[in-house]
Formats: sequence, C-alpha cells, structure tokens
Amino acid sequence: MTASNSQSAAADSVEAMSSVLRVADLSVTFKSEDGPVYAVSDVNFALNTGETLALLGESGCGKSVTLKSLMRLHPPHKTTLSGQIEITGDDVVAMSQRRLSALRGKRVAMIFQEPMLAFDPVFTIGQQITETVRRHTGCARARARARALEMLEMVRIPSAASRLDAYPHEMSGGMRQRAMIALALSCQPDLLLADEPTTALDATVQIQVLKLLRELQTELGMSMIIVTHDVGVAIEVADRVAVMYAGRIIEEGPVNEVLSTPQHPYTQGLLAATVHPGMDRAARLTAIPGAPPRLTRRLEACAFAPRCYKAGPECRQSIPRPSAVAPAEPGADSSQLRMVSCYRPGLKEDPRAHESNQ
Amino acid sequence: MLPPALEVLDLKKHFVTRKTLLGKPDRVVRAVDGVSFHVARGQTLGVVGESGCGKSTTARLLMHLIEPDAGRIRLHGREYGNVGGLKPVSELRQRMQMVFQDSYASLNPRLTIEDSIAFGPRIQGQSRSESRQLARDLLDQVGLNPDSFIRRYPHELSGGQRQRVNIARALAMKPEIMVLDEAVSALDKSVQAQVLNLLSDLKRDFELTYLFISHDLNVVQYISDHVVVMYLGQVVEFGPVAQIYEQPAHPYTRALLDAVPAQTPNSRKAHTVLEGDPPNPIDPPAGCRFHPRCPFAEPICAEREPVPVRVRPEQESACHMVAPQSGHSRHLTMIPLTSTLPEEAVA
Amino acid sequence: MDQSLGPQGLQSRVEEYAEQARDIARSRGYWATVLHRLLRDPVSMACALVLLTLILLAVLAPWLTPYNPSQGSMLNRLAGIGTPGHWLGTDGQGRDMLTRLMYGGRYSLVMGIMPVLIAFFIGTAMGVTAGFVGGWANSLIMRTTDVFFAFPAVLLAIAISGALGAGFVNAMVSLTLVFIPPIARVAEGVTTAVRHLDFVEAARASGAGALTIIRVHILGNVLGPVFIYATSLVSVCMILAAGLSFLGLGVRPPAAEWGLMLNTLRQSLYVQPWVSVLPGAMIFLTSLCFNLLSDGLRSAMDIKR
Repeated sequence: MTASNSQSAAADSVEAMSSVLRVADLSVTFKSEDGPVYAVSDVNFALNTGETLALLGESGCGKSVTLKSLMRLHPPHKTTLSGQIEITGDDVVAMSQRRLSALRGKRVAMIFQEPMLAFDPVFTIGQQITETVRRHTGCARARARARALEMLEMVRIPSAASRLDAYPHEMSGGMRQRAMIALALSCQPDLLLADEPTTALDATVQIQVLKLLRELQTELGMSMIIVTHDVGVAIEVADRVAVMYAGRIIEEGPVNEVLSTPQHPYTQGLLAATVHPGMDRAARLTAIPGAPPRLTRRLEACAFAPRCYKAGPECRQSIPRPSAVAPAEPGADSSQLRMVSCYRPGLKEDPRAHESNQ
Repeated sequence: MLPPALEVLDLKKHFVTRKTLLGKPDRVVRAVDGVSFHVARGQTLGVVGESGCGKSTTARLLMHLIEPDAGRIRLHGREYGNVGGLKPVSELRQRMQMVFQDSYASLNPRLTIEDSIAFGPRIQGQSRSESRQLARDLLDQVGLNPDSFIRRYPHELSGGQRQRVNIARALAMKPEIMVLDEAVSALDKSVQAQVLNLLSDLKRDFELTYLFISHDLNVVQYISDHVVVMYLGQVVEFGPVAQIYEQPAHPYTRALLDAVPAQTPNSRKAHTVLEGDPPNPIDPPAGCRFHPRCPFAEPICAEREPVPVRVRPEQESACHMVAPQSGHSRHLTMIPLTSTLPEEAVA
Repeated sequence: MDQSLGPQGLQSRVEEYAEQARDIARSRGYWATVLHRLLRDPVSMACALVLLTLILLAVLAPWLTPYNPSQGSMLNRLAGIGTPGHWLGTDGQGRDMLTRLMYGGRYSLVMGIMPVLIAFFIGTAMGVTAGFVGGWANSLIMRTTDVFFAFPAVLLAIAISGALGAGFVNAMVSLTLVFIPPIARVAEGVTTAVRHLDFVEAARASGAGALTIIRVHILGNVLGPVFIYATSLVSVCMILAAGLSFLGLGVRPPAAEWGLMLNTLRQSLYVQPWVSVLPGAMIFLTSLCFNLLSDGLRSAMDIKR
C-alpha cells in the first residue's frame, strides 16, 4: 500500500468527497504563572473524508495543542479557546460536556505516543475494548467481546484470542500500540487523531505501525490527522501536510508538493536541516540559526523573520496572511489546494547560498 | 601499524534480575554478550540498534560506570581495568568522556553552568580560577556566550543549549575519545543540525575520536566512518559506513535500513517489513538471536550461533549465510544486496 | 579561539550572542526563585507572620508580661476572658492565661521543632547513606527503620517516653526517635532517584569520589524535598508533644506547656469553657500554620524545566 495509490483513489471520488472536519480561526491560549501563553493562533484547515493530514513541526510549535483542542481535551479553567471547530457539521466549541463525551471515542478517537497512558493497568485489553464498545453502542457483552476480538485481529496482533485476556504490561511496546489502535477504532470513528503514535517505537516496529495505520485508514475510509516532528512519518502516511511554526500553520498542501518544492523559508530550512540518506558527508548541515520565539506574548510580525535569510522590512511589521500557491495542474480539486503564509515565498535558489556566510 | 584509539574485545555484562532462594542467579539479562569492535584515532564509529540491543550499556561499560563481567578495553594498545597490572580506570575515565541523551538529567539542577563545567577540572586538581577560565573558554567554543551563560541554571536553557553545555562539560576533561550516547536524538531537527555541525568542528579542533550511539540511521550515516550494528547484546555487523549502508550482509542490517522512512517524497519506497518486536534480552533465542524474525532462517540458525566472518575488506558479519559451509542453503551472493527492493516487486 | 571562523563567522557569532542575551534576560538562582515565589504566596506569608509573632511572643515573654507564669493568686481563680488585667482570663490556680500561653509557647515550639530538626539531620544522613551505598548497607538501615514503622507514631512516642521516664529531655529524645524512620525513608527514596540521574554518572566519569558526589550532587538535590517533608512533620510533632505532656510524660507542672495546660484546664471546662480551650486553639493554630507553610514551600520549590 503506497500513498500514491490512495491519492488517486481519493481523486476518483471527488463528488463523494465531503468535509469531515473544518477548523476556522482556531486560537488556544493557556493561563500560566507568567501570564498567557499563545499556544495556537488563527489556525485554519479542513479535512475531507478518507484524507490524512499530517501536522508537522518542532517541539512547542502548537501541533499537539491543535490536535487536542479538536476534542476539547485541554483543562477548561486554564484554557481559552476561540474560533470554530466543526466535526461532520457539529460545532465542537459550543458542544455540551455530555455531547462532547459522546463524540469522544465514538466519532472521533485518539491514539497517543505512549500507549501505557491510554490503558488502565488493572484491566485486560479485552475488558477495556469491550467496555468502550458497550458504552458507545450499548450492545450485549458477548457481542462487544466478539467485536474486541475482531479488532485485535484487524490490527494483526498474533494469537488475538489469547491476547484479549492479557494485561497492558504483558505486551511489548509495538503490540500495545496496536492494541491502542484497536481500542480507538473499535467504534468505527469518522476521524482518528494520532499524536506522535510511533515516536516511542523502534525503527522496525515504527514502519509496521505506520503501514498498519495507512492500510486501516484506507480500508475503513476514515479520516486521520497525525501529529509528528518527523518528515519521514508525514511522507509515509499523509496525503496532505500542514507545517506549523510558533502556533501557526505556515504552509499547507499535498505532501508530495509541499515537501518536494517547499515555498516557505521555514519548511525549506527544516528539510535542509534534516539529515537524509546519501548526504555528502563532508558538507556541513544547513542549520536554521537561533531558536523559535517564546509564545508568552502575542506576535505582531512574522514569527520566523528573526531566523529567516530573506526577511525584509514588511516581514517585521505584520503577520503574513495565507495565500494560495498556484496548483501544479490546472483544475485540481480541493485536496490539491496549496497555501503559504509568507511575504516572500518561493523556492530557495541555492541551498548553499545562506550556509556559506555562517 | 598503529594500534587503534579504542579497541574492545569480547565485552560482557549479564545482569541478574532475580535470584533463587539459595541466591543462585535465576533470571539473567544478557545485556552485552561478547561485543568487540575498534575505532581508529580521529574517526567516528557509529553504533546502531533497537532498544534492548545493549548499545547504551556498552557505552557505560567502556567508561567503567558499570563494571564489565569480562572483556578487554584498550586505548592505543594499553589495556585498562580494575585488575592489577592494568592501567587504572580513573585514567580511562579522563581520556574518555560521555554525553548523554537527556540534556536535563545530565546537569545538576542546583549548580550553575559554570560550576557544572568546572566540576571535573576541579576534581582533577586545577585551581578555582583556572577551571573557571576553562569553563568560559569552552562555553565560547560550543557557541554559547560565556557572559550570559556562566551564572545560569539548567532549567533556564533550551534543550539545544543544555546539550552544548554537556558537550563543554565533557571537553573540560580534555578527553581523546567522546562517547555520544543518543546525544542529539532528543533535539529538534533544526537544533540537531547545529549540534551536529558543532560536533564535527570540535572533532577537528580537538582531534577527537567519537563513539556515536544512535537509533537514527540517517544521522549515523552522515557522521560515522565505521558502523557497528547490534542486536540483543551482540554485534551482528561491523564495517565501513558506505559498505554497510550500500551492501549490508546481515539480514537484520538490511531490515533496519529498509525500515527508515523516506525523507523526501521522491525517495518513497516499498518497505519490506520485519515481523514482530525486538525480543527481550532475558532468555535470548538459542542459536542466532535474530532467527525468529529472520526471513531467511533455517534449522541451522536455531542450533548454532554464527560467528563473525569477514565478508569484504574491513566488513564483518555474523550470519550463517555469509559463512562458507555453515549448513545454510543460501549464500551471500544469492540475496539481493541493495537495500531497496525494485518497486514492482512489492506493489 | 576558534580558528575556523573568518570575519563573517565572527560577525554571525556576535549576533548570535546578542540574541542569546536577549533570550534569557531575566535569571535568578534556584533558591532566589524559590524565595521570590514564596514571597508572592499570600497564604504562606500569613502563616510565616503568625509563626514569627508566636516565636517573638515566646522569646520576649519576660519583658512583655508583668506576671510570673507559675505564680497564681487564689483571689483571681478562673477569671473569664476580658477580665481587666487578665485579658485572656486565669486558670484554676489564678495564673494569668496570656502569660502562661506566651511562656508555654517556649516549651511547645521547642518540643515541636527540635525533635524534627534533629531527626532531619540524623534521618537524612541515614537515608542518604542507605540510598547512595545501596546493597547491604541499604538493607541494614532500612530494615531497622522498618521495625519502628510497625508501631503507630503515638504509641511509639508513649512507649519510649514511658521507658525513659517523664521529663522534657526524655520527651524530646522519644519524639526524635519517632521521626527518624519516616525522614530516613523519604531521604533514601529521593537519594536513590537522584543517584541514577545522568549528572551523577557524569560526575563519576569525571573521577569524583563518593564523598564529593554526595556533597556536591546528592545533598543539593535531596535536602530540599526532605526539608519540605520535615516541615510538614512539625505539626505532628507539636501535637504528639502536647499529648505526651497531657499524659504527664512530658514537661512537669508547674511549668507552662500547651498540652499540659490543656490537661489541667480540663477540670474547668464547665466553669470557663472558652479559657479552657485556649491552649488547644494555640496548638491548632501553630500546627496549621506549619502545615500550610510546608505546602507553600513545596509548590514554590517545584520549578519545572
């Protein structure tokens, strides 16, 4: 199963495509001892049925905060959330706590980096999946247990029947991650949120889980958002990618285009700084100078300007608005749309030009 | 020929995690089980493997932070150890320094940056003013402004800055060999690039030899001259980086390289996925430890433990398939040596 | 210093340094930060003020009151609160309550703080030794403290005091013995956790000996948490001390001590109920303040990465 396959499948069914998720002007502010932290600012994106979006960025860029706020998982007394979040047409921001808990786990499910946190150590895997199925569908215990077994088989846990009665600590890291995926998918969610699901896994296990996620997503026709700091993970599973920096999406579009012809200087810098196979070992790496800004004050200008090699006066005066990048082929559908938030977008002429004067 | 800067022979460490009522070892973790490698002066040796393969334990054994059960550690041909007749461990620790993965846990939160860096030189008998001056010089050397950093505490620094301090702390001992245990793994990519550049500058300026332990195969390929691939406490393959990455002889090395996600959309490939998880180093499988997951396993692999065999100049691999007359039906030449399988074969 | 840097490189380094200086303009040491945070916490500050007042009243008692704490007047027995000359009334022997509460604070505060303080030093030493050395030393020290854990603290204090005999010093000794095991256990736990951190490994790799590592790297990180725990024990200790005196195992009459006062005023509970509960109220107020201050200290010292 490769990414290009599913993309062409998605393109074939343009008419059937509908929006699962729509996020408009989402801002998330946390209260802290040292004043407010503007974790996420003016984030806009939409997700079609059967599409996978990767939120890509470095630590503290707001990618996980964005993901968690889609289910309103942040503690309400410390968080100010503004903007619109619509999941299959329902307004999540205005939703009551009761309807919110019905949404969580049923229509929207989430998987985490550390599966041990998602499972209760005193119950078996089978009990926990059964319980979730019963809570959301109200079916009989035997039916729910059969469903749990079916799920474990679907995520390809070997000898699934005996694994139903295993406790979380009795499984290896990779198996636990599969079990968590089974738990998340047990109620056939429309949308799966994955927060760095493979970061804690070993290389040979990571690729197993990524492939599994990709296959299940196509098979079940669900939509998925995956948060990652790893360009490779985004390339392996996602159709679209949104690159985040300092709480904002700075570039968004189809994975193949954004990551092969990045328009934003930060995306360019991030890709250039990532070591990839077959690099010239004698060459120095192209590091981005400096560090991301603190989000303890509201930014009035482009957050990347202080680190940017081509920043001009306009970049230091106001925040650039997202603008469309001409699509690669004319007449492309909405899944091919591409945007960048930069006053001076464009391909990097010579990747070494900047490095040489460091 | 000059002896290698660091030579390790048959290093072993077994941890007893449970004893019987009579105090006999009942459950033993063979964390490091007969590891040998060497690295020439001024070179970088990459050590790769998954969790539980013993790469971090190996680093701690080298420094004698954990006492090895068996094995020899030689620096420039001179053997070090706690046994009479060998050079003392205290000298070994000074000549070899270590940088850990967790930049925060590696710095005492109650000490200023200056005190942390100056601690080692003070222990070695340098005067207070000498060691302070050294701390300032080294901070400058790792790209941190001494004036704004010496009085700070670790929690006030970013991860990348803290790791620079850790590198300065290790350099303060004037080592010849630096053991970098996942030293850049926790850093963001843009910061990681800064620190990797710094490491290569320092290596040149201080004429250092690196032991670079990492699970990131791309970084290891970039920074290393030679590579050691470990699996369940043993070395499965050892050789020059280009040969290992282009012509891996051991099926595990191939699987590991094949599992690396593509870094650009154009290099996306079909991965041949290895089944299962790395097993627990408690009670490792008999014979070749990789055989339960190996796609080429045959009865011989469960019976006999393979020994390292020279497959090409400088490249050694511990697999029955590369050993002549091992009893395995396949031979090295019969399996494709490119790590990427042709696209149509998998699609 | 770095020969690889040309003029351009130097310029970029200068800029980077300027950036770094702006980045962390504000910086304090750890303890300065803790103090700053504590000073900003109104509850802790109120408690500290109350405790400071109590200590000052106890220390300065002879200069603040005209009465002798053990000299009563048969004419003024059991005066009520608000009686002129005796604003907090008098006890069953006509002694001024305010005076006795001030003098009583001397014994009560000392008996509340000193045993915990001594136990803090001894218990930390034991715990750090056990945690750092590990192995048989750990087993020996920790199993010995386990024996003490088998008895409830109150029972243990009474039993030791009973065995040693009544008296101020003996009560202090028994209370100290009661508090060594829990402090040693906490110190052992923290030490074991710190001992396995990478900076201790790094210090060993620098060639530092055990004593240097304990002095520089272990104690600095262990003393704080153990100290917080010890301050929370002061209130327990005060109540236990009062209890011992109440049972006649602590300070002996006619000396003023809050627990003892509570005991003697017991008989007057129906005559002057408000006067009788005054020593109890003092014990409650002081232990509450110590507990709240301990909580404040805990959150002030909890500085995240």
